[in-house]
Amino acid sequence: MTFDRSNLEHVARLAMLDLSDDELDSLAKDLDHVLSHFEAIQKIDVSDIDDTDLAKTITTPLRADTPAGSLSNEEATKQSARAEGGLFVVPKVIG
Amino acid sequence: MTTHYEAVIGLEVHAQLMTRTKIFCGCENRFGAPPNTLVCPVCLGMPGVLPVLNERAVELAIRAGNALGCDIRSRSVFARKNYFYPDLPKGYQISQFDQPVCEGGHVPLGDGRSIELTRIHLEEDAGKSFHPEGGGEHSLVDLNRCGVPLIEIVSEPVIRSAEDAYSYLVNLKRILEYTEVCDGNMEQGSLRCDANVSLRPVGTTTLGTKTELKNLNSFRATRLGIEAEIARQEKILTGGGTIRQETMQWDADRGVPVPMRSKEEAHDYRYFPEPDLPPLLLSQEKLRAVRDAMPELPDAKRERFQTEYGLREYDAGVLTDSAQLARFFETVVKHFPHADRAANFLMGPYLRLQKEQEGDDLLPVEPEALAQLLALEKGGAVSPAAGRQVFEAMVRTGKAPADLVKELGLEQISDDGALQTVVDEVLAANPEQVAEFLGGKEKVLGFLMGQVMKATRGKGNPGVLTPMLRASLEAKRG
Repeated sequence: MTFDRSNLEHVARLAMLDLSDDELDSLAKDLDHVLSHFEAIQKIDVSDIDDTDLAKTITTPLRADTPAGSLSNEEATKQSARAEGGLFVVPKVIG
Repeated sequence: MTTHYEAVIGLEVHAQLMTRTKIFCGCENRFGAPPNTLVCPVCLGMPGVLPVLNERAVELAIRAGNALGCDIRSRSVFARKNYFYPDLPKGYQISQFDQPVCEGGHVPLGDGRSIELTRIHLEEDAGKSFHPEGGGEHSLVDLNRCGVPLIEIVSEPVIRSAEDAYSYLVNLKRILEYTEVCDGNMEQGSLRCDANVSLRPVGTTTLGTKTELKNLNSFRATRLGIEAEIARQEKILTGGGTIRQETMQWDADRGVPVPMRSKEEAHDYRYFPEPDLPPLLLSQEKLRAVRDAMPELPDAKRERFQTEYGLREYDAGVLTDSAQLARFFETVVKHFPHADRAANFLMGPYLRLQKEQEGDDLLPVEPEALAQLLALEKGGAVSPAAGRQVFEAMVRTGKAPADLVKELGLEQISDDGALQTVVDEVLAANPEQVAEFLGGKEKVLGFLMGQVMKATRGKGNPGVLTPMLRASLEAKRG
């Protein structure tokens, strides 16, 4: 596959990355390279190989439904750029 | 020739699970706390933290799947759904994508039909943003809700009318409440509904372009919103136009669906398996344990109410219509072991008052207090008519029934002398009706009894009064 500049612009927009022209050119090239690498791996026939044992038996650890406390409002908000009345203040998100 | 269209509707219902804590951290899952006081580094999305799945959330998701006849997958996988919005501090929502915890199943519509489900998956809720009026260039964010456990219940696109969508939601809510999976509170947002709506010419099978209708936060909004969206699309199509795929928001005040500002490429979520959580494997023992702990479902409860309490089918149906009311009834009967009287009172004065108050919620009376009132009535301390007045006062004031009987002066009059005086006065004041009775018109007895009860302000003991009134009338035959 080829990963070109327009693919990169799309992904960068979704990830909210502001890339310069130079960056777009060089990153598109790098990512195209990475993807062709994986393309090569994808071609390997693994149809007769079982999943690894680990993936079959390891389950996600579970937590008991017991409250473990929270941060105070001061602690929670003090690291934000701006808070008012205990709420985080963010740029307006709806018209 | 005009083309006739049929609607194709699929519903996505988000239900908050009744756990004590959030899905991936130990913050409390509670509505109404001061903003940003139920948050921690995990749900705030601080760097370096790891989510740990809440076992209870998993159990409740399986329970919902059992109640709705789903297949429970022994292996399910969490996935990242990536998007940017201020109420989602991590920049992604942990959800499930191609391997959800439940697949298939159905929601009964209550009339023999049912709607098939695609899936039920586990995910985390986002926070809440506020957009203050005249708030200038800013929005405000409360992250208490961020990380609250949700199940999303997705129906197949097989619903054909707003009426059926309404009925689907009513029945789904009832099952979730019954199984104590979700408290079903639509006002507080613990149950939320989005609808995918499209139209197609009758007789065709290809799906038309759909719109997603959000903000259907009550039963009424669901019905009206879908009806309005169907009408809007029909108008466009019959006028030769085409439907744009977009997200609409139901404006309940204006009664119209309005397009939401389209978030650019919002639907490109770039799902991938959640690297912080290994797959969830469920053993047969675990599935059995959850099944063994299943609460009683509505149909089973209705049958049990008939056999255990000797109720008629209709009465059992009314009393088991909501899990809350059924639980209330059973608590009353535990303290006042006369199921028929308790059932009559609930179906009569209780539900009437509830309806007057225009709410689905239980009245602010404890079942134990109602049991006390019914015991007073049964013991003859208060007449049924006065009992209703006491009950209304209980709802109003929250006071104990025995105190209210005294306070309102509603002690039942069983004293023969006092009642005889009242009977004599009523007969003297209604000579025409007395004559009619003596002439053979038995029906008049009811009228005279009513007059006597009125004169005693509902306090007369009907058990004493009825024979007394008849005897006094008979005595007049001379």
